[in-house]
Amino acid sequence: MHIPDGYLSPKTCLFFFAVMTPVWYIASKRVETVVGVARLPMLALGAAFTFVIMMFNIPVPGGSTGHITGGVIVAIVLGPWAGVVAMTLTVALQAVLFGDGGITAIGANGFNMAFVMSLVGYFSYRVVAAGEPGGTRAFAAAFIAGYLAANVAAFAAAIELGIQPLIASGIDGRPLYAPYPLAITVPAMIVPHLLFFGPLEGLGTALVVSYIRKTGLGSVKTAEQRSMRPIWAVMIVLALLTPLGLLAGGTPWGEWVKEEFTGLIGYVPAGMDAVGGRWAGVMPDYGAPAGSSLSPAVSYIISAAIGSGIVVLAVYIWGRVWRRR
Amino acid sequence: MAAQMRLPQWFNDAKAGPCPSGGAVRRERFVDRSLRSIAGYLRSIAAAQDAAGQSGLVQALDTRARIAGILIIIVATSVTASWFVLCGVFIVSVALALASSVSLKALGARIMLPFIFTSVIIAPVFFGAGAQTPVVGEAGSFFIGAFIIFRVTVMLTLAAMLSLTTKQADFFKGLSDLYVPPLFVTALFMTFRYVFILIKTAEDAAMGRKSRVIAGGRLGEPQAWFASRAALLLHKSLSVAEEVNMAMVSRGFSGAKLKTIGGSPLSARDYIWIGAVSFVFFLSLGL
Repeated sequence: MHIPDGYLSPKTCLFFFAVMTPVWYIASKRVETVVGVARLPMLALGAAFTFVIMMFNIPVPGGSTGHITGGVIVAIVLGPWAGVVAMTLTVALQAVLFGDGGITAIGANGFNMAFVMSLVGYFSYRVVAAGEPGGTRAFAAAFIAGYLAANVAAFAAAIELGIQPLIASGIDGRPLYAPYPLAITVPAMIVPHLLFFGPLEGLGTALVVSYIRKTGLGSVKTAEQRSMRPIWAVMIVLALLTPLGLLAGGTPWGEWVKEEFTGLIGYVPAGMDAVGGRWAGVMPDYGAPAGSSLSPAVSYIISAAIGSGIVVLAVYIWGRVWRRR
Repeated sequence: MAAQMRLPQWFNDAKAGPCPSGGAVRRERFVDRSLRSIAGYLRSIAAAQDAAGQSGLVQALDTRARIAGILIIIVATSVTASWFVLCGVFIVSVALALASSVSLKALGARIMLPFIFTSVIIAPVFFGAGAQTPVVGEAGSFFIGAFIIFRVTVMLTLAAMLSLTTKQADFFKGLSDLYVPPLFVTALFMTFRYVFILIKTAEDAAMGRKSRVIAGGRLGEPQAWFASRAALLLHKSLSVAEEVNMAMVSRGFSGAKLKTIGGSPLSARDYIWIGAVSFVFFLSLGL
């Protein structure tokens, strides 16, 4: 997943340095608050851990082997911001001293492997392992965290590579950097990660996190022993932003009805013609039931609240069922 | 009369190889690969330190000028769309390597793997894949692919030159002098040092398994071993961090301000170097 020098255009590299500069600043400030600045050795050793763990191979079915990045493990154990700093240090060291990943791509690699992986891994672990998880659920949570983090990071890398022909071509239109369009880079990155590297990252993360939970290992604590408040804050902000959907005009891509299909491609596919529209849903188009006097905006917000409530209830029931299992 | 020692037939066999009783030993690929990765890393560090310790043209430059200069050329190489600039930078880089006692073998070893990787990735472009515009014909496809591979190669060469001509301690001090945030530089330096401690633990673990395990168990057993060793590494990381932290705090470290000893003023040679790389940079913007 390390993007080498020469694959990304200078403007892409600059953009990611610009994006990551505040992230690094916030991460270092958060680490100062949470971990304490005098705990610098902990971050350095967290980075050294991810560096060394990348050299360790895991046996996988079929006689093959592979290695993990370890970023999600550090995020789960030290917290997401410490994970961001530790993985950034690793990415920078690998680029500058060993040529693994580009020097000009430190910003982009930091975004994918430090920022995206740490945050996605940490928060997905927190959500799945909420409450007091037993061994099986904690294993599943760590697996899902590693799997999701690897795939989202790979997707980000695929987007960065895939937009190069669009944004950085020569005057004659020839690609100067990564030459393949999104139609190639996305499947090329995502398929191996969905099928191999993602499960590997998930397995490695789950094995290590489970081992830490089982043995205790002194002062090492995993993420579910921390406050859930940040996750709830993010959830509430997302819920409050839901009405933004009302501002978007037109039909969302891929959600066309039969009439729109006719306008777009000139005909309605036979399968869609046969079964499309049979079930309209309890609240069709997120609107109020027929005969209601509620405005569309209020109906939209109510439907979002109902949907969120159902999801929270499902997760709660799921957590109760899995508790101590 | 001393009893005659009877050696087994296989012992006298001139061909090297395991004894018959070793036939049951099943090599574990994941352990071998881990050891190879570790050995490769240590070899790479040793080679870089050896090369950086030589006296040569690039090593004679002030560390600040050297780091800043090579980074500027890397950016110039990234910006340019010109074969002329790329070829010029590549030829000068190789010439500088030779003038700095950096062996081409060491340089080649650094860039070979990413070069092969990039060539494989870019190979379909030679046959027209990834072509976005109608101006690209067969010859065009070839030049597009070749240009991208060549750019990556030149940038790899420059990055390798940086690490092969700069001692690690000087490198971190140079970063600090170039106004990279001191906390980041300190953490980077500490990371580099701690990697050696952890790598020794990892190597001992892998070597221990290799020498003790005759035939590994089913998949779950080596995976459990991996988990235990990785967790041990993490545990060791955190306990060492605790010890180092206490040692640093007891010596007055607060993390608020980090100071390094000031560097000597730049020499005429350094100014010429900075001027030359700046010229290449501005040239790359226009070509």
